[in-house]
Order: sequence, then C-alpha cells, then structure tokens
Amino acid sequence: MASSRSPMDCALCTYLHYKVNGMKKSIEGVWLILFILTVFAFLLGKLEFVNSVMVGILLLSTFIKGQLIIDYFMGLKNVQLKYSIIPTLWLIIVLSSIAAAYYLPAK
Amino acid sequence: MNKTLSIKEPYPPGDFAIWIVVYIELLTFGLMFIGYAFSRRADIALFNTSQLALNQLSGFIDTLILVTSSYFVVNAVNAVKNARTQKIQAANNLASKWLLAAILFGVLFLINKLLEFSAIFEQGITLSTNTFFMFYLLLTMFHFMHVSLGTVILFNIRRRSKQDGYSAQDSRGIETGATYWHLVDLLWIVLFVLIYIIR
Repeated sequence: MASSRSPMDCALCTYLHYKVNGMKKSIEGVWLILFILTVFAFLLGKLEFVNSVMVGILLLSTFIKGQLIIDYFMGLKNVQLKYSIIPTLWLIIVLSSIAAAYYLPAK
Repeated sequence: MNKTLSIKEPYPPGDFAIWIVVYIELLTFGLMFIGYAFSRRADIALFNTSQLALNQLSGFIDTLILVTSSYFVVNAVNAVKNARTQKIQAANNLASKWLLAAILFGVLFLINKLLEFSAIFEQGITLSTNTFFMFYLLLTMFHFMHVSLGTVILFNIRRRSKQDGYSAQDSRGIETGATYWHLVDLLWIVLFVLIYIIR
C-alpha cells in the first residue's frame, strides 16, 4: 500500500518526536532540580546552618528555582523577551531587595 | 555543525488577560515580600524568635506538593499540545488524568495548610500578636486563597478536557489555567524560603 505521506511529513514527524521526547525529559529534569533545591533549603533551615553566607546561597537557589518555573513550567523560555523578562525582573528585584534587607547594616 | 533554529513565540501561552493577572499578583506579593524583609530589620530578634513557632517540615512538604502538582499540570498541557501525534480523545483523557493528580495535590496542600493554621491558632497566635505573625498570616492566608482558586480553575479545565474540549489547535484554555497554577507555585517558592527558612 502506497503511503500518502510526503518525505517532508516524515521529517516533520521525526523532528516532533525528538522535540516532544526532549521536552519531556527536560521537564522531568526541571522537577528533579526543584526537588533537590527544596530539600537543600529545608535541610539548611532544619540544621540551623542559615548564616549570612547561606542566606546568599539560599536566595541564589531560589532564583534558580523561580527561573526554572518561569522558563519551563510557565513556558516563557521561547517567548519574546518583552514578555519573558517581566517575571525574571520581578524575581531579581524581589530577591535583591530581600538580600539588601539582610545584608545592609542596621541603623 | 548542528545548530538548532530557535524561533520565539510572539505571545506567552494562554489568554493574554491571565498575564495581566500574573503581573498584578507578582507586584502585590513582591511588595509584601519586600515589606516583610525590611520590617524584619526593625526587630530581628522578635522575627527570629517568632519564626521558631512555625513548622518548617509543613512548609517543606507544601513546597514539594506544589512543585509536583505544577509538574503534573505541565504534563497535562503537553498531552493536549502534542495531540497531533495521537487522537484528541486519548490526549484529553491523558490530560484529565494529569489534572486530577494536580487537583488532588492542590487539595493536599490546602489540608496541610489548614492543619498548620490550626496549630498556630491553638497557640493563641493572631494577626495582632506581633509584626512577624501579621506578615506570616497575611502572606500564607492570601496565598491559601490563591491555591483554592487555582484548584477550582484546575477542576474546571479538567471538566472540559473530559469532554474532549482541547486540541493542539485549541489549547488556550488549559494553558491559561496552567499559567495561574504555576504563578501560585512561583510565589510559594519565594514565600517558603523567606518566611520559613531565612533567619
């Protein structure tokens, strides 16, 4: 039986197959990183390792977690910069302000 | 050389109106987060002592629940958006299963939070106990309301997916609901570290 698909269709199918599989893997990888960073934050808090250096590391790990959610869960990674930059800027401003509140010397 | 051609989408996923809501919510919570951090500077000892009354394990479990439910929602959206390669009915069926898992996790979050609130209220703590608890209750209860609304939204998009209402060409509804749910997750990620962990 002759196939009605053109070679272009087959190439597109193959591309989509790899694209979909790659996307699935990256989403699972993102979930794993979020899981690990959450366990890391919890252990730091539970073991009372939160000193001034660790606050910086915690805020950095929170930025990574937030950016992963923005890029891969909210799907802004492949969206025009004028839209994708807003949540990233929010994350930078909020976490920098928190860092400033913790690191600036008390009055 | 194998270079991937990257074409940026002109608009973010979902209905554009949800992104207005997202930006407004980010602004509102962002101001409250910064307000908490700078209020803490006025009485660091009070904030650190009060923080000991919180159940870090509960906050940790809440974070894992929300992150995992977000992962379920991403899978539901992907199932519908990749419906070209499978039947629409099968794609919607798969999406509704992922959404059910996300809803159950959302309900689990709400139950865990209610248990946490009940333990806090049993200690006689209220909004007016001190500045720390004012921020803690305000932020967590406001977020609780968002999770409740998000769960209702997920329930509604699941109902439509059970009626085979989504396809690769018509996935805007499910993307809109998913965007709101991921917002709730994003806000909690910052809230958890700020209120429960950093001292």
